[in-house]
Amino acid sequence: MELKNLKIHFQIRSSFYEEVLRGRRRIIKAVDNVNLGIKKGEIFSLVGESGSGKTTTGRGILQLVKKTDGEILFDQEAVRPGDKAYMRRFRERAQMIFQDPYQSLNPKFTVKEIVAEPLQLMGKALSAADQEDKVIEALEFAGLKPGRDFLYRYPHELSGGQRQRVSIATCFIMDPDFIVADEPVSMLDASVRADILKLFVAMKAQKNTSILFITHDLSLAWLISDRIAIMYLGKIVEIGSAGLIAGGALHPYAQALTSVLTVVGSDIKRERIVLEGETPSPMNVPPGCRFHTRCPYVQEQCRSLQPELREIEPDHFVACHFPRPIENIT
Amino acid sequence: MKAEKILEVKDLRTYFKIREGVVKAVDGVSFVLNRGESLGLVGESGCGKTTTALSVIKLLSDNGTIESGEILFKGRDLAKLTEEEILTHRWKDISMIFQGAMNSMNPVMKISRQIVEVIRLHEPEVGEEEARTRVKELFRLVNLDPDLMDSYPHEFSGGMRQRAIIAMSLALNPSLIIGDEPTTALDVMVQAQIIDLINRLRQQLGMSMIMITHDLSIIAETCDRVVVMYAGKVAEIGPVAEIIKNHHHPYTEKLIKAFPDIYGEREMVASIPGVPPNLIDPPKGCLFAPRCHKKIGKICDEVVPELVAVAGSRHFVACHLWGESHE
Repeated sequence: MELKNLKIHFQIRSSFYEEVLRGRRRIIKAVDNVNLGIKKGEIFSLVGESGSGKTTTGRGILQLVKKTDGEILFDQEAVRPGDKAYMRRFRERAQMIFQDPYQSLNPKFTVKEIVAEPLQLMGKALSAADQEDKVIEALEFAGLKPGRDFLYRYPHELSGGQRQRVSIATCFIMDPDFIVADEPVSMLDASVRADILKLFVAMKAQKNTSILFITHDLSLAWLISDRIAIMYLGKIVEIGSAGLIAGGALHPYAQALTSVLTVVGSDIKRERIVLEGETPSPMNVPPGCRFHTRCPYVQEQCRSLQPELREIEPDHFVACHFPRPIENIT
Repeated sequence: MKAEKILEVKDLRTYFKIREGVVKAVDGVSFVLNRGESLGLVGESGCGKTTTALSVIKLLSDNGTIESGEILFKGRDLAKLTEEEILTHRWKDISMIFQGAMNSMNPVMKISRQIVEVIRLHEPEVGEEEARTRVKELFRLVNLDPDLMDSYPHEFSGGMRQRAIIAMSLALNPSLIIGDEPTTALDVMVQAQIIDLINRLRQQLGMSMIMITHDLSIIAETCDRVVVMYAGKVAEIGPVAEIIKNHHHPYTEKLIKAFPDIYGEREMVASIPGVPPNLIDPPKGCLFAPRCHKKIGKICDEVVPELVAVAGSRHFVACHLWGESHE
């Protein structure tokens, strides 16, 4: 999966007077010129705060929102949202797991119906027995063992973690090549998160699935992914390997994000960089570097010139005019 | 100097009656909170953290009752007070910041008005102007621009609303603040800002605080002591640093291991297998036994472990494992 200059803008409806008579249109640039590539069998994390555009990027990739401009390539081939036959195949191969397992499962369906539904929709003609076997296999992969016991349960009988496992089984049964997982564990207790995350790692190991993991929690991203991209206001500010981002980020925003991660039981006390104020509205993006209004090391150039994402060392990209390692800051 | 007890909860039992039976949500919880101290309550969902706090200010839903136990606030037993009597304590002595509180403000009322209302309801002798001056001071205290006090809640961002709620909870100078997941719904950076604010206010005003959260890392940042709860009972209690480094209850150990340490080795965090027990018909013996990885035998299944002192008098643990190796 590759994104080239992806832009997704939303137009805000304002009054007739504003729109037609004064010709003023307000546009939210939710995703603005995002470039990234996800390799086969890679877990790639997109980390950012609310409003950073990480979810919109994920939805854009799966054609759940329309892109404004740019290219989305899947297997070196542009995704063709208008081509029905192509999209049918695309929907089979690229799946999404949503954040809230309390809303994403149909309460009137049994677990078996939920998990088997994609098979039926894709017109896979299977005998009832084969279908049941596949459902059980998917459930057991997702950690609902023995799978047979769960077939005729309804979502309300399951805990949050179990529901999320059902969504993962539903996704697994299609044997997808690519999965967008949008905050799959943020609604769950810390005590069950780990097992759900392990499923993604297992899926990657067994099926060589590529996964785009969208999260606000940098420590979870660090735990399971190969590479991490940090987003701020619709742009990627830094991309690098997981260890690099967690330990040696160069962009001031990425550094601040890692510094405020609270850690249990660690002796190392890092200087916390708590940024002042809040992320500006994406309707009103600051000129120059988008982060300059909150950057602790802002310089004149940052206010007018937008930094491009450039490769500082192999496989490490930063969008900052003056990147510097955190140790050198006094 | 001996620390002054501001709140002492003794053997609190809060039960809920539902159609299927009686849920023993809080079953024999005891702890002490000293003046100026911050105490964390931590555990998985449904372990009784919030119910304990709601019992303290008696905001339980209609089917919940405090079956037994004492809640001594400055020596007065709140458990025995009537609804009318407890009203005089809420806000004035104890105030609570609820989970998702920033969404609990009245959307059609200016924020200043909402805070003034709280002040004048409890202190009718305070005039409108004086109350407004106080709101201004409160806004300054929580780093909000006092000129914005006449805004409506929707004009504020989540972080600002949370600050306003904190300002409101401080309006009557309570000596105890209970925060129920006060930072959970916020962004990472805003969360860090609110934690800094809470820590500053605690020092500045000498408040006592009870912090309820499932996130141990927040406890590590804001609390002096921590109560680890499991299935309505106290599993372990002690100073935060001591609990994190030198815990003795297998549940505490599992809970800590569920958090990744990005400064350490990248190792997959561990889940706690199984689910907390059904509190309508809890198992005999230690309630954690069915999920415990260090079970030592029959005693765990049959005898409820008592809370015993570990080191000196500050650290207590309820586990047979500890009793076994130290008797």
